[in-house]
Amino acid sequence: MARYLLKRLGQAVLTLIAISIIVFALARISGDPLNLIMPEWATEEDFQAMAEKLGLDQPLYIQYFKFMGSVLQGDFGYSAISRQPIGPMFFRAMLNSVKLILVSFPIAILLSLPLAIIAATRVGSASSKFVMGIAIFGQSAPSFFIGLLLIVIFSIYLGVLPAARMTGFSSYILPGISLGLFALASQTRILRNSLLRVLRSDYIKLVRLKGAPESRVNWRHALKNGSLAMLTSAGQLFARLVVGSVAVETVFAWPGAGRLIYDGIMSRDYALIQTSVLVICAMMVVMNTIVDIIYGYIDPRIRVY
Amino acid sequence: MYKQNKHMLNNNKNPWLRTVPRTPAILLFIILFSVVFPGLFTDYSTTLADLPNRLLPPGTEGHIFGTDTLGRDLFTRVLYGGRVSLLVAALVLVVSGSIGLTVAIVAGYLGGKVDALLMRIVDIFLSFPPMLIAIVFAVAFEPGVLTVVTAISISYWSKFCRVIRADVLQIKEQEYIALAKVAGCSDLYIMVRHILPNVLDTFLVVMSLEIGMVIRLEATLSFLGAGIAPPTPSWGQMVGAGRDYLMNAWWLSILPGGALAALIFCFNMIGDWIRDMMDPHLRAVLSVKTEKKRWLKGISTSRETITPANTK
Amino acid sequence: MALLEVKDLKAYFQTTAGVVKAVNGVSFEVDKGKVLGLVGESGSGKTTIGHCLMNLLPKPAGRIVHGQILFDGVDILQSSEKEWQKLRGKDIAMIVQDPMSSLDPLFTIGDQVVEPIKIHRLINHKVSLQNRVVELLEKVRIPAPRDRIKDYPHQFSGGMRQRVVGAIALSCNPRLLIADEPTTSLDVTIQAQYLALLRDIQESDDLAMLFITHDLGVVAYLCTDVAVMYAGKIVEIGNVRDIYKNPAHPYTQALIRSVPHNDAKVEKLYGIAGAPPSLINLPAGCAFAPRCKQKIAQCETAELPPVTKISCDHTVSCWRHV
Repeated sequence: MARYLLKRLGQAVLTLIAISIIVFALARISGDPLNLIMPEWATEEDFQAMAEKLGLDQPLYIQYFKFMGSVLQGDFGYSAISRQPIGPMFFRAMLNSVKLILVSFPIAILLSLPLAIIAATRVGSASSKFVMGIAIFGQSAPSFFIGLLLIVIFSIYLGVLPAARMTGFSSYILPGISLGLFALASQTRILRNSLLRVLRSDYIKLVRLKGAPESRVNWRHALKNGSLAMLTSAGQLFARLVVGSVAVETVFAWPGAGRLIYDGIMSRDYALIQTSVLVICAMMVVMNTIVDIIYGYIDPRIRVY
Repeated sequence: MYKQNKHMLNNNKNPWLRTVPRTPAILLFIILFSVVFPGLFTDYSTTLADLPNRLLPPGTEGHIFGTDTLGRDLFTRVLYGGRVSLLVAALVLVVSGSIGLTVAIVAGYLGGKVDALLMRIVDIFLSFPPMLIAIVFAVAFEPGVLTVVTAISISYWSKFCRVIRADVLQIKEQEYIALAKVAGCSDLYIMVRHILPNVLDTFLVVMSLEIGMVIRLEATLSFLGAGIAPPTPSWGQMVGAGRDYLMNAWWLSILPGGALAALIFCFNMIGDWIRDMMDPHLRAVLSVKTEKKRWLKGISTSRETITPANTK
Repeated sequence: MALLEVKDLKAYFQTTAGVVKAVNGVSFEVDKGKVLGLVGESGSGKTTIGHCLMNLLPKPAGRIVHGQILFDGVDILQSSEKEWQKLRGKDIAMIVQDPMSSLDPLFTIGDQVVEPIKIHRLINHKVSLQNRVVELLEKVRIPAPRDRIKDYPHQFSGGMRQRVVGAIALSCNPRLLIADEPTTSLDVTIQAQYLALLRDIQESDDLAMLFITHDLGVVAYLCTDVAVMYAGKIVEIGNVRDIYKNPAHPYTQALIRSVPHNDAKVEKLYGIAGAPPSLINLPAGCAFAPRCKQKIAQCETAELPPVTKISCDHTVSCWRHV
């Protein structure tokens, strides 16, 4: 188990380094990075001063190490537009995003279990087609469209639910659905495919031979084996949710990290984007690593390695 | 040629074709046709303003989808906007597909250290979230078709690569590869003439599964302003622009968004069907059910079915 | 009245190539304390019969289309799924073929052996359950059973896993045990041990057993009666000794002759020319006729040979004996 863990952690670190290099490099490739970081009203002298301050006259790799050094110490630089330190601003926003994700993610996963079982055990039937239809639709329709549609129906025409900002319990509903629908859909599909494979296996046959009712076969044996595949995708799904929150938070004016990124796009605030992307990627890598560790816990065969 | 038929997806086997999900297939055809030949369906211009007729709701005389803030017919703009979305998706698939295909064949065939190194790189790229990288790109460079295609391809090639490499590993073990080696063919020759044609079908399956996601990604990026920029119309961008008018003119956002959802939905349904067909067990289950339905409806089936008559 | 009576059982599969008549009119009996061997080539339908007896044919393609299965005098083919679940694992149990893939990799051996007992609610007390599991593992001769309850399937060898499968089958003291080629995937030396184990258990528990195999040697060792299957039908059935001494059906004779003997000096191994017929387009009359070396005029007709009695417990279905 220990060797497996070390290997996973090593991969995680490598990935993070690669991403940071890319993000760092893009700024340099697109021209004078100062153009991206400096606000519009800066003068020639400001540019000079900033260049010296940031050490832009130094070789690239030194710049990179300095950059990473300050990042690891928690200093993320300043937003060019709002002139606020990015660090605290970002983490406050991240907290709000997490609140939203914490609502939609678990519900999506929990709901996918019975849906996938229906779709897998009654292949070709009407109920199975219905579930799969919803699942594919949920994965197809862009989250921003679902969000806007829900707003038009529930906020504008029916006036039942709030359309913007984080106000109270009811304000979580529409954005939660918009964000979680994709997760629910993709998890259901993946789980269903995994279940189909598992349900054909010899050991499931043996469980039936023991006289087990279908409910036991499905929920105790098929699901446990099928969920292995779902677990791997769950880690990636979290990443998708974080990324998907950019669109959903924009639609619902939710004060989260996604909305912050949108503001960064609109105002072409590179420093902000840079930080956001790095932190989010780091979170994703951590999440994936945790998922792999859980995987090792559930499947005893992995522990041998 | 040594091309072998690995999968039985040829059209001679009718029963499988009959299990195509009909609605998505027809809908897809309609959408694609009208987007590629918009001239047949509409005479309006996408750019000429017609201010007296601005913000007309759908269903008004002469404008099925209504008009936008400048009075332009929305239906026309939707049709033309679809082209851009499809173009970007096609470009991404071509670019990332080619890179992924090449790397997969080289890594899978050569094996050993080359394979290990390349797969490490693929793993790293695979963990990049495509949208975030695309956003970084869009802010670093100017938004536009080139930026978007590059940005999305950087993440997507690794997806193709993984799947195809698995296929290459299988093909590598086939006897005709060994024959070719013994006959003295160079590695490059084998890779191009023998392996490539045989991975193409898997490649097509992966493409058909991913095309929906690529369209969705581009749409989201354009919606956020990090994708295609005005004046080029693209569906995602139209939805974004229509947001401000959601209260009074919902159709500006909802209709292009609906077109997006419909197109992606159809692609995904068909992609799923293709994937199901490649799996022998599911293929059998689906076609048995279809045959049974036909028998129940009284349509003659091409083969014998179990009837009370032949069980005596 | 025998414990198990199968009457004219037919099971068909609907496939994309047509209707496969896997089991095409099969009748036999198994009584308490007797072991019936079901012999045949691959594709003769013998495994399908095992599935029929548990009503677990692969859906949606497979279906039992005709016949009766009388267990204790009751036609269980008319039972509901719930009633079937009460029978499976409890009154009728099965040992499956491939031990490497038959055990759930994510559950301990202890969990899997105790599962039938839990399903049928035979014992509730936790400690008694554990004792029962140890007892069962001892019965199938797994060394140090108490230590191995918490182990996972991948920590066991093939032979050991197959013993676990045996323990699972015996956990609720079934009255009928179906063994579907239990030793086919095992090494030859392990095979012998396993068969000895089965024989001992069968004798001590006075089990009724249906032993499905393609190996005539195993049948000679373990079975009291044997039924020879070809193309979905039983061509000869009777007491093991009678059939081995006086095989009546040409197919049976050919089978027995094709088993290589240690002491005989032969230049060529004996094989049966030709191939088994397609189960989709079965010939109308005797299915073995095309390959039979002892054909008579009657065999070419499109009529099935009737079942003829040779002695009190030996019947054959062949035109030569009518």
